[in-house]
Amino acid sequence: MIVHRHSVFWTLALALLAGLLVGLVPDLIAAAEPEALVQPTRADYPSIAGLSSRTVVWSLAQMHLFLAAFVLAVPLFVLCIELAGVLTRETRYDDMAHEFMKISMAAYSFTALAGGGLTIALFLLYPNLMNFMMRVFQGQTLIYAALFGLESVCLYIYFYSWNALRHGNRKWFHMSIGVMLNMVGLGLLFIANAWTTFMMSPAGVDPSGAITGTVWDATHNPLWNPLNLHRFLANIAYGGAIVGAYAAYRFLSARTAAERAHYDWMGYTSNIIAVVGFLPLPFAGYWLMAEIYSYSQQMGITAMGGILAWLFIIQAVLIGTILLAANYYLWCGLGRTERGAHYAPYVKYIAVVLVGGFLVWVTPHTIILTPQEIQTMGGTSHKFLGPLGIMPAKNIAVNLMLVFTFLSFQMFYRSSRTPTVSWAKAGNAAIVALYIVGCLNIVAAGIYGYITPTVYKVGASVPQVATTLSIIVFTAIIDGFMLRGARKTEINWGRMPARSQYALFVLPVAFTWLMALMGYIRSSLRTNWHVYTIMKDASPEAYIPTIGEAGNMITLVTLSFMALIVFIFWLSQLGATKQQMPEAGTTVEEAAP
Amino acid sequence: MTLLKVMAFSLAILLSYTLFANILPQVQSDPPAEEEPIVPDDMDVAGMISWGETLFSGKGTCTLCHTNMGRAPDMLALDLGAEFAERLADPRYTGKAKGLEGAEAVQSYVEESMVDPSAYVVAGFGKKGTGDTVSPMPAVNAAPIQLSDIEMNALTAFLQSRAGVDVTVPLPTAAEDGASAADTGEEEGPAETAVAAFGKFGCSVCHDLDGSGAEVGPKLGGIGARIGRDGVREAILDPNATIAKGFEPDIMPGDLGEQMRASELELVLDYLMVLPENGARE
Amino acid sequence: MSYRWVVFAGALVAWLVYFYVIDAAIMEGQGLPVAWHLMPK
Repeated sequence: MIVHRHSVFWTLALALLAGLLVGLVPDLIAAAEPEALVQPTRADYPSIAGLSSRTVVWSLAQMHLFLAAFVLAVPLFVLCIELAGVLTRETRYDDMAHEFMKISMAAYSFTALAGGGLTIALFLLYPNLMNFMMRVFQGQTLIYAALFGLESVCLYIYFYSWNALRHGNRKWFHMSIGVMLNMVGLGLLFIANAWTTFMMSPAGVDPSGAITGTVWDATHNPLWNPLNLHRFLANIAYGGAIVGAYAAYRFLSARTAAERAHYDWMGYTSNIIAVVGFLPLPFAGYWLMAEIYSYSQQMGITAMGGILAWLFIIQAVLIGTILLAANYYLWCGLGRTERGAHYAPYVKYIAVVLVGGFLVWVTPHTIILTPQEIQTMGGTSHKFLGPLGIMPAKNIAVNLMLVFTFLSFQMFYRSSRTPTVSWAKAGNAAIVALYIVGCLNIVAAGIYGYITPTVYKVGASVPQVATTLSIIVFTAIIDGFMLRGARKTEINWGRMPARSQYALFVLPVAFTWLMALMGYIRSSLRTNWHVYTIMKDASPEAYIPTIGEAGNMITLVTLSFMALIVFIFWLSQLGATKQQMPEAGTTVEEAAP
Repeated sequence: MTLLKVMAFSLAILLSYTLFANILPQVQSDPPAEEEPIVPDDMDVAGMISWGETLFSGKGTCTLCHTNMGRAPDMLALDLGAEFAERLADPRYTGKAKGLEGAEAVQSYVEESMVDPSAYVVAGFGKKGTGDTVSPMPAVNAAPIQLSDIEMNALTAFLQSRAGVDVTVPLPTAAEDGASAADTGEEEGPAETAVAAFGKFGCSVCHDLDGSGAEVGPKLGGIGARIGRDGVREAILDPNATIAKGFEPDIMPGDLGEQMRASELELVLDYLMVLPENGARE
Repeated sequence: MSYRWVVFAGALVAWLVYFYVIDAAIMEGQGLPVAWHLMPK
């Protein structure tokens, strides 16, 4: 049974949280007195030391977002791996979960630092905006602060009690702390998302900026839930990618076969986490985009058909590299088992689909052209390649890429398991049939989108998405039953070429750059508004910077983040290093480290 | 050594992305100009049409959606004359332009489309799932586009010319510039007193009100007794209907009816009804 | 007939059914009417 002193602790913690919420409920449900907003003028924007305010806030915000995504993601998959360890009774899962937590601990304080810096910069450099935001969100900001306190408590207890609460009931108790940690983390994510999305699709205010609704109205604006889902999934994928880089690095610098096997397995797990988080992302992104269009068609078209259109081509390049890298890693993984060679011949077909899909996805359609360019091209879009740039073609490409990525994973999963059930042949036939039906449908729905008006093009993407998800879910279910009691082929962990680990480095680099790019798009959608249609941006930097400027900025912040992550991982290793006591008569240098 | 290789590899990837971003066409999007455009007093019809054309692809951001991509009717490619006539003849149309003809109909329809796009949605262009009853178009006089009345008139002139009908919008005069000053007053909320309204709408600039001593317009002391409430109301809403002896037409702003709120008009009327002959008030 | 072709043929038939029934239902569910031959009304 649960030990009583722990129950007391949890009761107190929950009581504190409840008290805080109750105390702030009047703020949450009562509306503020409506008075129209006074628009800021150019003079209301302080300039500190001649620095570009936008650059300062952008850098701090982006660092905070990178780190926050990481520290929110790690406890999510750590808890899942810990659970896997309990269910399979294999200690290696628990040890890996513990290791994932250990390498990310230092990141929390840096996240808070970046967040604190961001807050100070925002209040210093954009006081009018922050004044307005505080008036809109009132007590919610205090809840946010309190949640940070609770997060720290949960985090430290979760990590430091790992070995103390190792087995039996104590382990379940430990996992419940993990659940609490994740709930608090999600709360932080959702609150911050409310502020971000309020600036894009404000609710609870009238057109003059008077606050007419409650904090909940402002929180529950049209883009809140789409962003919640998108960031939740993206965080998981991102966290997996970053710890994958750690595993890859340790693999490459491993000195013993055991170490290499351990870090190979860790890299494999990280890649799976990244792919699992990544596969549903396009759908969450699609939902976000659809809600943006629904809220304001202008905003939607600015994003995809207007000045920001090229950014989605860059996004296509980045996601293409991510998918290719993740798949490449899986294909190399086929070499870990003898049975893997059975699937190797199919790799080239998957590669063709992936590369072909990538090329289609990269092809632009609506781009800004000079009159000479229009003349040279013979129209505003290319005669043959143009159609590849519009939505139906892109959707076919994306959905097929996702389906075939899942196929790579499924092949790898099969490469260590030979089915022994009597209906294996029929099961395999069913899986093949599902893939064929699915791919045919994706292509057919795409062609249908071509020959119909715009509104049907958008609508046709829903059957495509449904098909992709169906393929993944149903083939996984069939495999789940078919591979029960399967004959396991030995997986030779560690038997991977060095180049496969570089695929694991591509993932976090591309992901980080992609996140920053998407942030640039999201901010730019507001054009010259702080809060869209409510509070105009009257600062000297109200323009949308060019892609080149943004690209340079993104690269700089990405580099800083990579450096910080290397430092954070190094810290965790440093913590595990122990200098041996030199023996009598030897110098420190002669003694082993 | 491994660390160096990994760092170099990561740097190479980053640089390739940066390079790609820099070789694409670079477009900086500046916010629209804050200052009200300086409208020449003598702007003629041709000037309005040309200004409207600039606005269509400029501040009005019309070309964002009104293109051949199928999101909104492709205004520049359609035969607007036939197109508008077809829409007004549609039994679904129940807006302000119903029953009007020719240039008047076009003006009314265009103005309605700009400030209340959902009044009539062309078939197939409504928001998904609303059965063409809700338009995805934003009102152009609201945020984020925020065109002023003069700018909307210019756009209407442009579309009228493309529809092949006469341009019937009012041309900007000195009165219009006064009206745009009243526009900025609008944003501060309704006037709470008659005196506040005088300041907001510039009445004391021409009339001797609240001690201004102005003599451009007639003295208003005792005007309630002279022409009654309805008379004063007409004088405010349609100044050219009756000109006081010794004064000229076309001097008082003609669009106070659009600028003033009903509550503000009533406050002013209340005040003027009891304004004594000698103009003094406690 | 080899097993493989049975599977392919079966998949083709299954797809045709899926396309005309399920996809049409998904489109109609979004308020986008399609006729039985899948062209918009």
